[in-house]
Amino acid sequence: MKTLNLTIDGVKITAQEGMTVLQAARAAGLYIPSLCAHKDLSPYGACRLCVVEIDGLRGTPTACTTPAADGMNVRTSTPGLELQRRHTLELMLSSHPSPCLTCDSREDCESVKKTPTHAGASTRCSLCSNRPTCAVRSISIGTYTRDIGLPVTYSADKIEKSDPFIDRDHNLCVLCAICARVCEKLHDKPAISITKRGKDAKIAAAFGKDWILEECTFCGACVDECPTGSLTDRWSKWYGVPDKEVESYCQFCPKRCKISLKIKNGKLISTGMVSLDKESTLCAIGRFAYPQVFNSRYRLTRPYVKMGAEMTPATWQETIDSTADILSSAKKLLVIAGENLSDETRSGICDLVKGLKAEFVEMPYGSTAKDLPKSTAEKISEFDAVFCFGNYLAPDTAKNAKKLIIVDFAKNSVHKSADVLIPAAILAETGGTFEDENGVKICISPAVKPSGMQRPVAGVLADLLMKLNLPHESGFKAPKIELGGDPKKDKKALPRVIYGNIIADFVPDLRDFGQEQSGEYAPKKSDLMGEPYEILENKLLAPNFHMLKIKAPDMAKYAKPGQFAILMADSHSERSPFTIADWNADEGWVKFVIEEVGRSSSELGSKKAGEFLATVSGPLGTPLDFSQFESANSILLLGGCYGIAAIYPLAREFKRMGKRVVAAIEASSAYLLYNKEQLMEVADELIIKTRDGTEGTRGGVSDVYAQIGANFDAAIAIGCVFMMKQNSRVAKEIGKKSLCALNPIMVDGTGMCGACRVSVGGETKFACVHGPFFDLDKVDFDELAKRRSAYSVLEVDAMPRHEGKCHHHK
Amino acid sequence: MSENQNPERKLKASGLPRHDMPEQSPRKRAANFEEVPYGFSLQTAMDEASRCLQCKKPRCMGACPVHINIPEFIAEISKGDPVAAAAKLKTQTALPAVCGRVCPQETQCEGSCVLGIKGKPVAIGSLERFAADYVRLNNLEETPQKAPDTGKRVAIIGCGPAGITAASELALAGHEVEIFEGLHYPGGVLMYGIPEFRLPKEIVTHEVEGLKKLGVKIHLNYLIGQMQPLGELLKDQFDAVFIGSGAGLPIFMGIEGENSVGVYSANEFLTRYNLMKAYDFPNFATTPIRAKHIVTVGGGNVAMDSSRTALRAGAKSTLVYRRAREQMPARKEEVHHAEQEGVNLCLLTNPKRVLADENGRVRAIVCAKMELGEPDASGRRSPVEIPGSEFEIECDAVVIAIGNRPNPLIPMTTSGLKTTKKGTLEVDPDTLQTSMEGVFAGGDVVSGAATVISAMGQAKKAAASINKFLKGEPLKEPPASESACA
Repeated sequence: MKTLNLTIDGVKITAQEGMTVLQAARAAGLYIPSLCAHKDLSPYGACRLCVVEIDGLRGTPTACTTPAADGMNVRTSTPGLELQRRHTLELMLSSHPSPCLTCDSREDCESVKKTPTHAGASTRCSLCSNRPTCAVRSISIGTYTRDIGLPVTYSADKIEKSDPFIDRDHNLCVLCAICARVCEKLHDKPAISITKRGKDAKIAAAFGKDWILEECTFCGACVDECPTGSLTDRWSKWYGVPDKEVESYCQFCPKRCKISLKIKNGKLISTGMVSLDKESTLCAIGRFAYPQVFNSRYRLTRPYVKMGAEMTPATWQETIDSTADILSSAKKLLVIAGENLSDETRSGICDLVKGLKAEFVEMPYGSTAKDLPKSTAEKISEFDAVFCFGNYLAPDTAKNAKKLIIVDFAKNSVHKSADVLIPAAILAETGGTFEDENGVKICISPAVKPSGMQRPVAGVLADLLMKLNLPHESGFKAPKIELGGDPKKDKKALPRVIYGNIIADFVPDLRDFGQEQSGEYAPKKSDLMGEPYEILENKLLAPNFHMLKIKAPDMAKYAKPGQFAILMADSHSERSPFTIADWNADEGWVKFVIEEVGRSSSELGSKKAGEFLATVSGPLGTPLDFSQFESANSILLLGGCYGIAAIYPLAREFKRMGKRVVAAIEASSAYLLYNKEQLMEVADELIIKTRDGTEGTRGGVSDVYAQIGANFDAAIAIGCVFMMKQNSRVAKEIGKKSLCALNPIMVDGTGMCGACRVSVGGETKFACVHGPFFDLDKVDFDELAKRRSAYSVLEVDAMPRHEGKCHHHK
Repeated sequence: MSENQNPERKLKASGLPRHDMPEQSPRKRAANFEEVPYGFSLQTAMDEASRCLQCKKPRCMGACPVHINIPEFIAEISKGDPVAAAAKLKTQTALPAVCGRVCPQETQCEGSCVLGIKGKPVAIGSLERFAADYVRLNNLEETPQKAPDTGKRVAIIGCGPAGITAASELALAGHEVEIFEGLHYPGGVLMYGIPEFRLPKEIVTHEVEGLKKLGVKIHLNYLIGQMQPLGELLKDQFDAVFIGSGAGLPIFMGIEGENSVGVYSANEFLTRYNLMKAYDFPNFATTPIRAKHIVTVGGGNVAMDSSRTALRAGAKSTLVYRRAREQMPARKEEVHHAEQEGVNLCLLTNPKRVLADENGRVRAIVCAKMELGEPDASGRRSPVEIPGSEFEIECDAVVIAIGNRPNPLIPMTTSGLKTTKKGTLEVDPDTLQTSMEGVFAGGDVVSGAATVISAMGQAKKAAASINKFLKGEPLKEPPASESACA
């Protein structure tokens, strides 16, 4: 192959013939921005960010589509190119939710909100799961100033959640087509492509149907390669960026596909392909179900031994001893195991069976307790002991066993009949020798430490054999397992069972693939909760902002401006506080503005008119004491996020008192503003600020406060912690009366738990009873921000993950 | 008949050992949230009941805050009739299945049992629990007879042990009773505070359902004061009010670092696990406390509940208490259970400050060693710090269980309701009437944080006063012969 000599920005580099200018530059370690270029895909030329100037060529060709040639002189960053690139990017950003990128306070804000908020819709970077790895963001931050000259649009397309495993947010799509190109490259019949043209263009399956109904095999490559947050893995997206990737093999089925295990802080957070080619595609189980089974909350994490009449948590020593005792004293022993095991495990089982002259029942690949031969089930009580590797015994069969040793990875109801319970390490926790589908031996090493006391079964067997003084014999033969079809191509051929357990029990989305659950873990409900509260209206005010109007006559009768209430969507929900935004005692309703920022608010936001909330408890908190403003003539009200709704009842009351009321509200961008008309009715003046300058003037309400605050007798700020912190700095300078209303984590909201404690002027206060109003200049907002993030890691585990069809139709 | 039986019984009892309930082994139970003791079988219960001497002047009865006729119900069990025993209990206590489990019997009924002088007292608590469980589990419960309708209406504030007892007493007396509960679930401290492993929540649910069968109406999510003020209740809707709002305002230590992330009040810690079922996270959305080492501060029953819950949450659990074991206010059995399960007791140790990492999360608690000095006002020898004895305990969560005060919400929103310096309501000790006419109170809101049974005892006493009040009888006069309110 011919070597080419080029000059890029004055640097002499070499390249191979056939490379594009972009590839040549990247190979030489030179940076040219691009969104649509992908090292494993052919050039596409869609984003036009990689424009360059080349001597002898007219105009500004895209580096990704121009072949490198000998003697080429390339310039990548002339003022003209920078301007062109900036215009291209501005065009792209004008329809991509990007106010955080242009916000002057971004660095400050992100130092408070270290991880993105788990919102419903990604209306800006700080609500986007893709923030840590977003290509649009890094190019924008790396290359451009914060000014966008073009009008910003947000098409507010609803996030598509009707498919299993994948969330699709078209608002974030930059039409780089990487997903469609990946799909085309990997699959003979690609499932997705760009449909329609111009501003209506979007990534979709044919006829816009759900992907599950199409050719899509849920290999997840499109999700993994998407440079924005448009396509995301619903289960893993909030866990962040892995700190380690380990190449391994999938152990679900005998195909033993190569798989990349993505690990963060020792936790397996996701899986993916080892390289972007046809051979490396994964099935839906490997790509999406794997981490969900592995991290299931039903995992058996410690051994138990029956001591006296009860199953008792035991040490491994006790477990091995008790198991050995049972085995050695059994004259007639039955061993049951599945086919899909490592050679080490299988040879251990064979040694045990031979050494103890046990009867052995081998459960074919994919079988469960239902498939246990009837003849075996019927005579189970004839054995002195049964040693079962997996969930292969029905509860009624297990009951009849004289002594029962079970090895399993998940807890289930059969275990109450066991005498010894051995927690098995599975998947990434364990390894061993296997045969792949071509009969080639492969060796798998464990990639992560077990979350509890689980151990690889082969090791447990080795301990047992030693304890029982049984010889290791070689010469067992691994069974050849027949697969019904290719799970990578046929959704019907996906593995359904692991260790005798139904995979769909741990991964409810698999119901969309026609896989049924056993009902083992179906929730049991019992409660004495009172009458539910009817939702009269749920109106989307702005993306993520829901106005819920709820029938609650008692609360409506007693609510006062500034108070809040605790809401619970269902009996299993958290108690979460929300400011009462409006109420009508005569009509018996109250209104709340709910911003989707996590599980509880998402559950509330998803309730429709005519549906019910389990709990609406309030009014709570000390209402604003208006008497302290008697001598004040003018009040400045500052609102952001939910605070826009929260300042309304205050404005109304101040107006009624005859004060001059100026309301200043802020949002990241115009499309996140709401309730403007409502506020205008009760305020003498409404000042609008947006962080990207798309409506009103650019900036935040703290700028308004700094400019005109001194002209007012008092100010009240309500919004996110960052916004209030900004305003508190101004309040200290102005030195006049200023208040804020706080919204920390609460459990009960009545003064009972103390979770909501805040430091105000060096004193600890309970926001729920002493507040929510405190002196704006005296609150320790840094402490508050830390306390608010106390559960941010755990909250990821709580996020609703199963919104596929089955869930909707239930 | 009992006279004839007595000598024989005495003889028999002296030779019979006390029966203790079988329990989950400490190792097993430290890893689950299920109840610790399994309860008696009918035969064991009968055997144990037969140990009772049926004293003519039963000392146990006097020591019971609700004055249950203990020999009477035990006699029914010894005859093999737990249904009759439960019926007798139910007329005298609203919550036998609860009291049998959480009462400090060793200082009350069992502490006064004659058999206890030379040997071991009758297992009265276990027998009470047995009778109540027997009828509940076998669906043999009889709804007690209500007195004829009086046309009077009583409001009860708080659906905890005091509120439930008062409601039950007053409903049985023929009044129309409505309970106002602030939380979304009835039961008060029985639901949010006492853990499942000491008091299964199905029992609380069952008892509250029993209350509903008596016609008691329960308003949930209804905070008197925030919604309808107390004064308004008395104006036109109700003839009397009972306040049983408990002591639900947690006390913190006021030490440096106490607002670090990972420092919880026992109320929050326990509420997350009990009422909000965080142990079933993420089925239930309330987040559990995930910590490797949880240090609980305090020496009372709530501290024991917290430290034992910490173990069950999968953490190493250490309890720090500034006095010695003898001064611990917790029931001996609870301390014993906690130690058995693996709670590490750090006695004569006083927390000085909490240390946090750069993210504001707890990393350690600094404590000082103490020694006992002169007795203080409570008669307990007060701990004195040993100079230079400070040391760090590495931990990632701290639970403060040093007590609770009454929630100030009701007095704050009710003019005319007097409180003491401690924030409790001022009441007449004999009638339990507050500074407002027709408003009575009982339980922790009067006594400060105490026990379930003392709250129930006060509620029973207040209910008796309310009965008099509603009949227009003088509250303080010696009871007239026809006032059969008991």
